[in-house]
Amino acid sequence: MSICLALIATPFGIKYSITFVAQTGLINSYPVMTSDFQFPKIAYPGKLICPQYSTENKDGEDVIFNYVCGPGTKLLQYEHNGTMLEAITATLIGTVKREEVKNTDEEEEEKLEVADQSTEEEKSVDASSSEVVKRVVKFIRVSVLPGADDDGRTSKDANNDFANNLPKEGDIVLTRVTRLSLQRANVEILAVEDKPSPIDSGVGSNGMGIIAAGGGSGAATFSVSQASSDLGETFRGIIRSQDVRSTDRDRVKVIECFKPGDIVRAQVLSLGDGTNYYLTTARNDLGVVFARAANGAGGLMYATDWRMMTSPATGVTEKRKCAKPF
Amino acid sequence: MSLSVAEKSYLYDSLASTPSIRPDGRLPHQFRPIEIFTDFLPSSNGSSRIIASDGSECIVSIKSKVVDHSMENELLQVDVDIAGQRDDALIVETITSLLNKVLKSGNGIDSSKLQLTKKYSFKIFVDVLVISSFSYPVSLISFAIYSALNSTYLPKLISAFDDLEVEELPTFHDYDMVKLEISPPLVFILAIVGNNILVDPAANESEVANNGLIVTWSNGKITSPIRSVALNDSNVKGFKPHLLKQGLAMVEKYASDIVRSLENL
Amino acid sequence: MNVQDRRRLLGPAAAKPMAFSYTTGGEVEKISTNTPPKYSEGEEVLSLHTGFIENCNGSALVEARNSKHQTSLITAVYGPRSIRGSFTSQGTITIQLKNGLLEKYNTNELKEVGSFLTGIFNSVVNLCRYPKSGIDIFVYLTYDKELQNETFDEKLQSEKLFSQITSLIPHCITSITLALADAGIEIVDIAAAGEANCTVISFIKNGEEIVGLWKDEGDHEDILESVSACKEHYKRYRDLMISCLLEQKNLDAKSA
Repeated sequence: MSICLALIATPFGIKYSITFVAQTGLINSYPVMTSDFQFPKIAYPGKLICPQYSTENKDGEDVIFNYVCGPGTKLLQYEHNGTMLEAITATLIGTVKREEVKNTDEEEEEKLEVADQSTEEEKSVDASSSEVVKRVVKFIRVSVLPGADDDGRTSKDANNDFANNLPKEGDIVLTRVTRLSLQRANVEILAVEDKPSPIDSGVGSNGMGIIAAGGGSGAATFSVSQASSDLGETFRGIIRSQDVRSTDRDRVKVIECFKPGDIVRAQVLSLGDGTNYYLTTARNDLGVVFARAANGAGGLMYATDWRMMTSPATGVTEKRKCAKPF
Repeated sequence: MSLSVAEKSYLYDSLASTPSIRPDGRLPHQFRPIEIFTDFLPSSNGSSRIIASDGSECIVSIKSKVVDHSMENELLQVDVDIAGQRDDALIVETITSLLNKVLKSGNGIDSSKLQLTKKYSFKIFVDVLVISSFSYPVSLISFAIYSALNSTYLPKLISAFDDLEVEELPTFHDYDMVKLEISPPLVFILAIVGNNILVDPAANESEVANNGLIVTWSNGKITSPIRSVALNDSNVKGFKPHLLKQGLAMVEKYASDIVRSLENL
Repeated sequence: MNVQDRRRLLGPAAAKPMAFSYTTGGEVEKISTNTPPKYSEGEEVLSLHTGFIENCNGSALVEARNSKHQTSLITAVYGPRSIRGSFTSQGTITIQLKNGLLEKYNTNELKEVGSFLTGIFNSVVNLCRYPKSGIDIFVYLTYDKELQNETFDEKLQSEKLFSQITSLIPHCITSITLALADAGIEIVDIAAAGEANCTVISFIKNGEEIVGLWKDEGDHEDILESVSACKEHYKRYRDLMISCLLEQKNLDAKSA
């Protein structure tokens, strides 16, 4: 049985047709082809982009598009004629980008499996009725990127504009070691890899923005909502000694892995507590990327193996947990 | 009070269902029981202490001063102190500003009731001390102010009323006092949860509320200030315009009962 | 030690105020070349401008002028930045209003408006994208003047003060929304507000939802009429803001 619900979605008069498909084994159950909505090119906050699902009938194949929220969008509920409907809405100003996501998520995989099964079912039913109709589910991530166009210029234009780059679980971050103890290394997070930093990020400690004479509100890198903090602090993280490497975790000596001032590439394990993110370097490509010899007094060193760095000028070697450079 | 995500979701669903189910079994228009004591501070003209059933407690003291009313605009001045909050904290300043607007002359306060002579009037200082509060305390404070002003006695004037011709300072009777007869406005807090409106939200209800309304009631009708107020900072959402009408209707229906019970103290 | 330094409070007896030559004209013109064409509809003229402060993530300038008064305010958005203290799974917003040249409003009234605006933007900003961080918004009331206010009747003046902050709130909401959009902070909709009968009502979702209500004067009978009047204002402001944002981000409005 299929339920088709056509609606004229609210705020800006964009016409949608949302088709909800309940999959059963009935023969006369193919959804009506309804994909007469247009994807907007440009979006601004509050602009409805698309419904959650849509279908398309192409070459005798039913394609069901399941739209997933990417950055700059949110799934919001709208009430229309007494029924609640969900639509993907833009939350940023910029260009709309669509990309198909392969089944990376387990959840999505499951969904796909279910879809596959139903496809098979239908195939068998169809075979009996000598009519072959395939049903494919496609997951499409919809996101809004700041910037004028979705060609090469986007990344350049997006620079300094994108504030939505807070570290989240699984992100690779670049950090600087601030403090060591036997149990952990404290670091400050400088940037999320492959993401631009906001203009006012790290004005005090990393020096990128313009600072007013005598500080000014731009000099504070912590939020004024919590005023009891030192000036010029960024997000902080902790690498516990157990999370430094994946083998022989119990015998890690933090002092033989990091030194204060080292630039460390790490991955976010969790958002952690109020002050710190919890980070890990337990992967080959994670660990110290830049370090100076003799506690910062000497020259820049280069990794010779995964736990040794050498200064080319003096030949001095020091112990570090290095990231694989290539 | 801090609720877990699961607790919040359960509470929200039960409050947003029709009819809404409140955790303490109250009806949407029902207040929590309150205890009020009046006239217990010997050194002030009037006082009251209000205790809500969740342990929120507030003390109000009324003091007065003779002023030249051609020099003073406002004859009532409210000062709020909340235990554990700095004087310049956001909530303290917000509540002070709101209550001063509520008690602004002309809104519900008849300033002629405070007039002593042609030149002089009483200026009333309302000092509020919130000893403990678990939900947004404005409603509780306004009940306390109401009962404190209703138990206020001011010195009795014995000099002449007309003092424009003959320059004379007002003089008062040694021990006779006159009851102050003004009817101060009341403030009601409504919580909006889903499509339901609840009066007098408790702390746990405030935490899941989508929005809140502050409604002022004076002399048998709704007056300004009327405000929307975010009762928490995690669950705030917009609300349908018809809920505004519904909330005002609810206040209109039940406020006079509250006034009556406060008057019969 | 309660001794104040009063030495500089009084100048010499014959001192005259400094008079500058006509140099400000050029500057004013320079700004106005940057500003988009003034959007005028009805009797109110509104000028919107974004992204002109360099050290904050987003900024907006809103200038409004109608037959009665003239307002100009600047908003700056900083963050999201790290906060200290206990873990928060979503962002925290703080909004601070500051008096400009004219020290006109009480600090506690400004704070009341600030907390009212915070309530509005808590429902507008997509806070769950910003765990463990705070977004700081500063609104600077540069200029705010009654144009036809020649009366110096004190009572009238004080009544005006109360209504004025009400007429200011819609512009605060406009400028904060613009600054947030300029900063690239996720907001679920363009929030704007209208004013009618001393009532300010702020809407989202094409007027289907109210996010804020502020009424300082008058009775409640007119509040329901005000809703529709404010909704008209809201739609007008929203359309202006969208076209302003698209223009200033160099996005073609026609393809939207």
